Amino acid sequence: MSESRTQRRKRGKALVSPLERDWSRVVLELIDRSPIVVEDEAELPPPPPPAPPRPPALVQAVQARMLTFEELTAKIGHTPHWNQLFGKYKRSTDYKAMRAEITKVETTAAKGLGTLGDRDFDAMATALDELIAAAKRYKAAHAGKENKVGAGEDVLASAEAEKLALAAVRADPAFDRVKDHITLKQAIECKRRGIAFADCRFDLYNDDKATAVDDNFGAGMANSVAKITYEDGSELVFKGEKISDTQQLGIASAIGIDGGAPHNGNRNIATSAIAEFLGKPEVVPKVCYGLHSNPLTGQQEIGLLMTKGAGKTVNYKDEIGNNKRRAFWEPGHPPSDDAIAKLGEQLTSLDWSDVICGQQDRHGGNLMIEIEGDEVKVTGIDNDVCFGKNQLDPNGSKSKISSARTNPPGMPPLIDKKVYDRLVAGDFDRDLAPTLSGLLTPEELAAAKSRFDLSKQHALGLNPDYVVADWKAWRSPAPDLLTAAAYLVAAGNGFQQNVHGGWEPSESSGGLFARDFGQALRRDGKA
Amino acid sequence: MADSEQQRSWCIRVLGVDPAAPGAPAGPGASVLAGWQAAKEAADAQLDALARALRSRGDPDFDQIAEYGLFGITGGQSTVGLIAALRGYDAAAPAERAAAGAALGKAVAAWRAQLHASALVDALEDNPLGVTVDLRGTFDAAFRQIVATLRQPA
Repeated sequence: MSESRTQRRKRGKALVSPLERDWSRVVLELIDRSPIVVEDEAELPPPPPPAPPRPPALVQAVQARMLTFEELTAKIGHTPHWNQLFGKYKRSTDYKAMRAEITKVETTAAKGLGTLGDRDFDAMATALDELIAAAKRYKAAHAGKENKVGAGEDVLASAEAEKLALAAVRADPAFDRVKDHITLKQAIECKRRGIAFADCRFDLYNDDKATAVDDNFGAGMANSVAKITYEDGSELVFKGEKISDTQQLGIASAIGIDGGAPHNGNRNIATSAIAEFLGKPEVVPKVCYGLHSNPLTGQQEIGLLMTKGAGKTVNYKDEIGNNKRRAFWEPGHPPSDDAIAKLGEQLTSLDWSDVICGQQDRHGGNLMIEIEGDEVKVTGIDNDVCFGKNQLDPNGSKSKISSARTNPPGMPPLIDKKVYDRLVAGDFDRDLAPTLSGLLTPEELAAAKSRFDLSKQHALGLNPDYVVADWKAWRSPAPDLLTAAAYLVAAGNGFQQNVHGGWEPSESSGGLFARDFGQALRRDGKA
Repeated sequence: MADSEQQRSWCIRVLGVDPAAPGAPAGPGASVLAGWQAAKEAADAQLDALARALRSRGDPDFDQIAEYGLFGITGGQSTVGLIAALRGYDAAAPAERAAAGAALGKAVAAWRAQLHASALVDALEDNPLGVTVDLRGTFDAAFRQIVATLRQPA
């Protein structure tokens, strides 16, 4: 540029020539309408919102259900007595006080969570305190009258639990995620089930957003089980979340799941967290909580929504109700080597997730498989019976805990390289405890840490010969040089022959792969 | 390099790049992404020099251009698509190379068309501050290498 100083004009403290000024104006205008710059910036997707945190610890206020006044009346046996002599002689004073406070609590609880401010919450807490005081007075005044004392105790217990649940609702860090979609009563129902709002997607998954509902998907169950298709195209299975489980499986009780407060949905979410940690989130369903009206009761239920596993379950019931193992291919037409490799990789990864979770219900009805050409999809479904507080050993094969057994025994004899890398680099307290502590009780968390650490030790022992980077190319150490499929099948299906030639449970196996596919693969010369 | 005149004319017609023009051909197995990244670094260095010159003037308009106007050209969503195609080609198995090459060819052609049609690039290359900016020349050299790689037998 050759410009004299007089050609320059001053803008602020800068000296800019007319030519440069014209250039800058043109460039600024071009920047404003340049598709290169403007469209690119406009098209950038917004950053995903940060995941809301769970509360630091699980709160499950099972008893938090206010007695209605009608229920209280039924327990006491009569309605409050009228006052006499124009109020000079007051009667049923504490009973009436309980009625008044119950009405206050019910009125507030029926309101939308997002419409309530701190003052409303404080007023409800005060009403509960008044109710507790009235119930105590009522109990004291009717000492010796069993039904009345019992009624007072019931009111007391439910009001105390309601207070705990109310505090948990207010303290939940993800309160904002649900506040515009549920009432305070529903929020308290969440806390009765130990649900963290971070795991709720009531905004996406409610009946207003459903385009198709099949309520007969799990007809006859205690809680509704429905298959629901939503506006966003997702097809999910809804299972009403129980507060307590009066028909608990024996194995669930054996591993220490409290039937009074099972928080089964949380066990499914925790399972998903473990599979994700291992780098294999696809081997279990994606899960969250949603809302759906139970067709039998007409009531809106809170329940767990799960992605529907692809394919079919390994076991099925025949027409007379016998449990049968499904044939996934015709004899002589086994899947491709690629598919067998993927089946081994995914089933073994599910084995690893299961031992860390302490899964005790991985029977063939809870395992879905799809094999299409070279592609395979394995999904371990219904992850309710796991994370028991009593099961410290990941090798807690069911025969060690209960006479029935549904899981393949022993620790997995192979490990996928990705799972290995994640597991050995992982630290339970650092990587998993923050996620799991809002889902499980402290005892369940401690047992999970124990299983995690022992699983890690087992994985380290498999390194390097049994860490599988390529499931098709891997061979067992010389001289056997078995394929991964043959090696897993050779490790056994969970049973061994005894001295009498009969079969008895063994304590090791080649996991789900050997249990469910070993026989067919052997038949077809693939193992 | 193109194997024949027919291939060369296809490159000129479809991709807008002449593989016979000067530019070192990439060797077999060369990373097309690395070639692009080298060109991007060279282009960014030129834009960086221009930005420094703009900021040195202490003028708010110049500052604004330096801050917001320059680096969107070598970044942004359309560039993300190009980079995805470059990565896809590098990662493709031999059997998938043809399809990945076709996708990359389209991405290069689209990105290059945008670069050459841009009045903003015209203005930056013709800046009055005496800073040499040659974005089209810089990227075209890289694209020639990429096209040469695409035309090599697998």
